[in-house]
Amino acid sequence: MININDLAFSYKKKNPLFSRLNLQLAEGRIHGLLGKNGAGKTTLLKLVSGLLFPDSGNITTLGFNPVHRKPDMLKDIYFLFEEFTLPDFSIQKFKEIYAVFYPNFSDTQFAEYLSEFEIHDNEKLNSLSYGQKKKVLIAFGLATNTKLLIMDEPTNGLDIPSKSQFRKIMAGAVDENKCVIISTHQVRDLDNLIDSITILDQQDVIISQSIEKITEKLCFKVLSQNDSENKILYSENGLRGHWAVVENDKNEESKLDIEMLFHATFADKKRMKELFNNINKA
Amino acid sequence: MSDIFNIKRFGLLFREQTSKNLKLFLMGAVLVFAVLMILDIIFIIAAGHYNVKFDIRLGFYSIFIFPAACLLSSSWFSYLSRRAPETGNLLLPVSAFERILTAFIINVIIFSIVYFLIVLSVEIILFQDFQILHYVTHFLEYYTFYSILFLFQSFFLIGSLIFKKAAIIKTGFSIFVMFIILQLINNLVISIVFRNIPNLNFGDVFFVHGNNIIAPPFFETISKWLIYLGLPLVWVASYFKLKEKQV
Repeated sequence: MININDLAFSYKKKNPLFSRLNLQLAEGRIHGLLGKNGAGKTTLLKLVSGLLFPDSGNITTLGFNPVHRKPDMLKDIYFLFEEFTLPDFSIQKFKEIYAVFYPNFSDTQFAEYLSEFEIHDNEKLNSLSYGQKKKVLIAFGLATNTKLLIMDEPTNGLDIPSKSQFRKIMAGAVDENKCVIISTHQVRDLDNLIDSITILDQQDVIISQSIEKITEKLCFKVLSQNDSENKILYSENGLRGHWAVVENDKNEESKLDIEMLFHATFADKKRMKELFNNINKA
Repeated sequence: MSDIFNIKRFGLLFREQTSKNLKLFLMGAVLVFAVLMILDIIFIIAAGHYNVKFDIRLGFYSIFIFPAACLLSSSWFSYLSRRAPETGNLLLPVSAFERILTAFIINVIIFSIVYFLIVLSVEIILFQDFQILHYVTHFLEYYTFYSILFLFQSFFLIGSLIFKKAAIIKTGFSIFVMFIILQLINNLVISIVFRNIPNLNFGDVFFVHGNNIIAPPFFETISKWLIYLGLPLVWVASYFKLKEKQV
C-alpha cells in the first residue's frame, strides 16, 4: 500500500527531519504512527499523500508517486487534518459538494456515523464546536471508503464519550483493502484499536511492527522489586511492584501497553532497533 | 480517466469553488456596486448636474477594475498558504490544470462579466446611459486594455501561489520593481543611442512622423506580442507553480 525507500526530507537544509527513512505499511490494517513532538509524524503523512515532496528517496502510495497528485490516486485518499477550516455549509450541503469526488462514498455509512456521533445533518458546520466538526470529518472520511485514510490527531478535541464512539466506529470501518494511518500523541486512545505501530524519532523509524510481532518480542508485565531474571527495557513503579517492558525470551503472552512501549522505545532506542530491525514491516 | 482534464471532475471542482466562495463573491459585488455608485454621485455633486462626461466615468470604471480584479486574484490561492488547509483542498481528486482553468474562468471571465453588469446597472440607475455596452460588444477593438487587465489578474493570481502572506502587497511591489527595472534598462538603451544628449530619459524620446507622434511599427508589434505571449506564459507558470505547491 505504502512503500518508502531511503526517504530524505528537510525543511531547512542543515536540519534534516528524515534521512534514509524506510517504511512499509500494508493494507487491511490500522497503523498507529507515534513519536515525540517534532519527530515528523505530520510531515511523514504529508509526504505520503503528496502535500510535501521528498528531497531524495522514493515514496509509492497506492502504486503512485504521490508528488504528481494524480486524481486517480487522490480519489482513494482521505486526509483528516488536525487543524482545519470548513466552508460555511450545512452538513448536508458539505456532503453534496464533496462526496461526489469520492466514487465509493456511502450515504448510508455517513448517516450511520453521524447518528453514532449524535450529530444531525441539517446543522451548519460553522455553528458546531471544534470537536463536533471533527466528528463530522471523521464520519465523512470513513464514508468516503478510500483505500487510504489518514488521520492526524483524530481524537484531539473529542470528549470522553466521543473517544469511545470513535473507537467503536473505527473498529468496524476497516476491511482488507483499506489502510488507515492514525497519528497521535494520545496513545491511550489507540488501545485495542490499532493493528500495527510505527514509532518515529530523529530522522528514523525505530519500530514499525504489527502488534503480534511486538508482543512476540516484548512482554508487558508486573515484576517484583528485585527481579533479575528478565531483561528489563523500561519500568515504572506501581502499587503492585514494577510495571515493566521486558524482552520476551520466554515467549510469554501479554497485552500491549502502547504508552509503556513508547517509553521503552525511548529509554533504550538502540536495543529496540536491534530487536526489531530485521523485521521492520508493518 | 485523464490525469490532465476530465469534464466531470472540472464541473465538480467549479461547483465546489463557486459554492464555497459564493457569499464572498456576492459581498464583493455589492461592495463594488456601492463604491461605483458613491463615486459617481460625488462626480454628480461636484459637477452640479447629471451630465458628467461619459469619458470621465469610463476612465474611472477602467481604473477601478484593476484593484477590484487584483484583490480577487491575489486571494484566490491564499487558502493553500494558511496553516490550516481547508479540508486538504489540495488533496481533492482534481488535476492542477482543472484548478487553473477554474481560477481562469472565475477570476477573468466571470469577474469581467459581473463587473460589466455592475457598471451597466450603475450607468442605467444614475445616467440612463447605455454607451458602456459598446465597450463590450466591440471588445476586440479594446484588446490592449483587456489584455493588460488580464495580465495584471494573472500576475496577482500567480502571486497568490508564490507569496504565503500579504500576497497582494508583495505582488504589487514585485510588479513595481519589474517596472523600475524595465525603465532602467530603457534609460540605459537611450543613453547608449543618444550618448551626446545629457539627462535624456526614455519618456523624453518620441518618434515623429509629419505632425504626429508615433511608435515605430516594430515597437508596436513587439509590445503586442509581449502582451499576447505574456498572458499564456503567466498562466503556464501558474500551472507549474501549482503543481509544485507544497503545504
